[in-house]
Amino acid sequence: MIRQLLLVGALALAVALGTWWLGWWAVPILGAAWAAARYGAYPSATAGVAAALGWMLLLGVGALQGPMGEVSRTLAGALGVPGWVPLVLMAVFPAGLAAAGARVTRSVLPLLEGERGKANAA
Amino acid sequence: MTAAARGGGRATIVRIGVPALILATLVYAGFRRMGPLPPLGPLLDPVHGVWATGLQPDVPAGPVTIPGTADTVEVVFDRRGVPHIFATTVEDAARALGYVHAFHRLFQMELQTRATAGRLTEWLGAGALRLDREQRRLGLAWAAERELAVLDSASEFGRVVLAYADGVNARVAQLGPRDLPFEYHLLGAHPMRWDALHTFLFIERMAFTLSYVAPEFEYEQLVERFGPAVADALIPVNAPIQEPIVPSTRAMPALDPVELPLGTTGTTSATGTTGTTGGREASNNWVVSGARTATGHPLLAGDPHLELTLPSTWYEAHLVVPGRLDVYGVTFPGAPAVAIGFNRDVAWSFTNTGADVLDFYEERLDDTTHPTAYLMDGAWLPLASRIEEYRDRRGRRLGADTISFTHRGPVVRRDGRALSMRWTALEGQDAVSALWDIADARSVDEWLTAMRRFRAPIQNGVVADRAGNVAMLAAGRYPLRPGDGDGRRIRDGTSSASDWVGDLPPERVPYARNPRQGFLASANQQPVDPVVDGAYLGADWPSPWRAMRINQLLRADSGVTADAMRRYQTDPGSARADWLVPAFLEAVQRERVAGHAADEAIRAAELLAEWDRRYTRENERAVLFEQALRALAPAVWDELRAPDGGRGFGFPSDALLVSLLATPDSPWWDDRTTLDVVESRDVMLVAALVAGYRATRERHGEPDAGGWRWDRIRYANIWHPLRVARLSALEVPVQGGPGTLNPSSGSGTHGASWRMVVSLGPDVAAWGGYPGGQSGNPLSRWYRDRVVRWSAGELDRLPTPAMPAALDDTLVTGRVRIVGSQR
Repeated sequence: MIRQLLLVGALALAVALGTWWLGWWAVPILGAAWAAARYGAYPSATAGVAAALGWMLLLGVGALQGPMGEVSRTLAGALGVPGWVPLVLMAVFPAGLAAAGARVTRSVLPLLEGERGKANAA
Repeated sequence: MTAAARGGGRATIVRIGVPALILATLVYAGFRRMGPLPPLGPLLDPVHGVWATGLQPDVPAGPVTIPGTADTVEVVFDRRGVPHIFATTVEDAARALGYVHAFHRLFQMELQTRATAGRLTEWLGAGALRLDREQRRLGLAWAAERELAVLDSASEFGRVVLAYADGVNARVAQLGPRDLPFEYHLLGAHPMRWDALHTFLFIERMAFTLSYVAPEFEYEQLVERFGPAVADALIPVNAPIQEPIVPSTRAMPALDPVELPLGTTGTTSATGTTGTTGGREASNNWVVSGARTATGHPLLAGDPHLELTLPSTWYEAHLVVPGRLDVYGVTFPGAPAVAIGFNRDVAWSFTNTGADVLDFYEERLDDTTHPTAYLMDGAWLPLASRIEEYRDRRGRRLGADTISFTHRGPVVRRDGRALSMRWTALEGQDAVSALWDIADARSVDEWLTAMRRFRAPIQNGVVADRAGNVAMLAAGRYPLRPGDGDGRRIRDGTSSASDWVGDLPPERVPYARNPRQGFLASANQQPVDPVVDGAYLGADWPSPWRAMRINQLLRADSGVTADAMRRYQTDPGSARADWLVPAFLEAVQRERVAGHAADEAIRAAELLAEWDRRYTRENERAVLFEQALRALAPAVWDELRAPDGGRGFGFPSDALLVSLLATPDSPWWDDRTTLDVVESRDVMLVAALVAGYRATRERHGEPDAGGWRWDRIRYANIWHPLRVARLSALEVPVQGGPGTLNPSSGSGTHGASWRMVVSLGPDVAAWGGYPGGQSGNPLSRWYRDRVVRWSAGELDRLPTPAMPAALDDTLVTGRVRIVGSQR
């Protein structure tokens, strides 16, 4: 359990660093990589949680330096949605990207391995 | 294949397909726009996305490199966010100004450029196509290109414009995703490079805002429906109340009643009001000579009224080039010049003149759909043409127009007619270059010499110098028409005899210098008393209520102080109320004596009589007056409604209503909805007051219950250009009402966009402020920090350090060095 938590934390850190260096599209790639690495059960769920945590971590770091709450409210005002929506999106969007990336990988890998196994057997 | 195998295959497809679809959707939403939503990836990215705008600094982190900078430029930002730019050449000063403009206002600069050029579709897609088409058909981009084509890049002004563009582009080049202004994140766009053309586009936009006034269409329809005498009266060449800018030879204000025959009501289905603009762009400025000030030194005040926006139209800056330039004032982001301001010797401000500088000509074309020539003096002349293409953000073509030009200007279609438009704004303005030149004027004379080159949009400039001179020049190019010179009619385009025959000679351009009265004031009123000079300058002048009020204040004050000038800028007194309230009260009194006044009318009159005719925030009677006038206008001008009961012509000015008061039995007073009764003036005034009283009670409750307070009814609404409430300052309380020096329009969208008072003693002292802040970043402390003080009519002292170290450290927010690139 602790190992699993540590791994999720590591993935969250990786998402934060990946976003910092590469941008938002690092998130689904890391989700996919997480699933491919098979570090534990429920890779989609853990990837989603870790991605959301990773972005929240970055937002938290930003909040130490600037008015992120005000940015959220301003963005919400500009989009015509309630003030909390951008913050929720900040969790849901990366979580969805990472979880879907992991899920697709998780589903595709056995097929690829099966094909490889058939090829080896032949 | 067995059923089990088929079922397993379907399950695999579902197992892979569903998450793949979700992933694809999210990735698509990350990269591409979905409806009004920008791409979510770059928007929400916590490092590079919109969140970074909350971390952007208020002043640049230096040193900043701008290619071409000759020597180090020091920029000191004071605590109000105003850059004090210290350079050794004017080009370097312009470079630095371009940089700080872009640093604080880049989105605004690009938006106004795109709007003028008709390139909003490249941001907003097909939804902006109609706007872009309208804009391009005006020919503003065409005119800007022509201005750029004749720019002498070797002249000082040419070098300044190019250096300014370098400064803007230096900032654009610095911009990574984390530095993008907030709105670019929303639009999913990246700033374009700045070109010198964009400066001219901006100036064309100002010309459009201030001088695109075309009474021709309404005049023509009035002639058709009522005959020329009525049209002449309703869109008069001369204001019914005279309080001109140039002091007259007769006592002012003077009521020159307009003869207002009813004429014949035709059967036209004309639907009057035309697409004229400029009605709400008012302004005040005045200058007082030392003979009438407490200190013995001249004082100058200016407050241009424009659309109130966040970020503001204006950007304050101080440019210092030792031995050459030391000017402080407000600049337009997008142009390298101080438009309104002062230097150590001279101060100036502008109001819009509103002269008629635009005419339409009905053309005969060789083909209605694909014209190639137009008829002129019996011969077919070739039309010039220009193909305008509209593209979306990905460069895909959304549409194309061919715009034709006669020798007069662009051809527009209206009601099946081809009309060419001649407009001074399209024929070279010399606006920015003149503004650049006045910045270092050392005297009123030098200032006037520079401004005589200014062509469009015509501006009433007041100026004062340290030597004690004051002057006013309604600077610009006034076209002269053939014949009677009247510019209200659409002219025959098939004859060259319809063309302009020249410009008003300089000696007839409205001008005054060191008048005996000791002051000069302009508030968009007719500049010259027609008794003094009857030259046609325009028509349908705004009512001179503000001019009357400021002249009243200045005549009564022989020891004006700078603080009094500041107070006058938001003075709640109203010449309009002074002239119209008694009309209501006297009408009720006469009807009462005649035994016709109902109790309700008497009660309403008692309430109105309690009003001191000042639009203070706390007053509780102005609303009754406004509601009464609101009821009166449609009742009096009911003849101007469309015959089918729909929208008709716009109502004439209140000044014309005052003129009508002098003829109590004019047929215009008759309410045409009452077929068997002919109403008189008094009956209509009393009925309007009662209607206003009822409407006020209905909307705002009983008098003295608090609901009639003016600040609960009228306020300023300062909108962001994207009309996002969160980025705007709405329902800002103001002191003032219609026709006061600090006018409050119904929607609250227009008002004093900058206020300035300058005292020109041995040392210049100045105060100023505008409703907004220096930064265009909604997350910046300088985005709307000045709104509260503006609302209260307060001004800030404007520091003018002669050198970087002269600005006290307690007043400094940041210091930045700008250097040239290493070669």
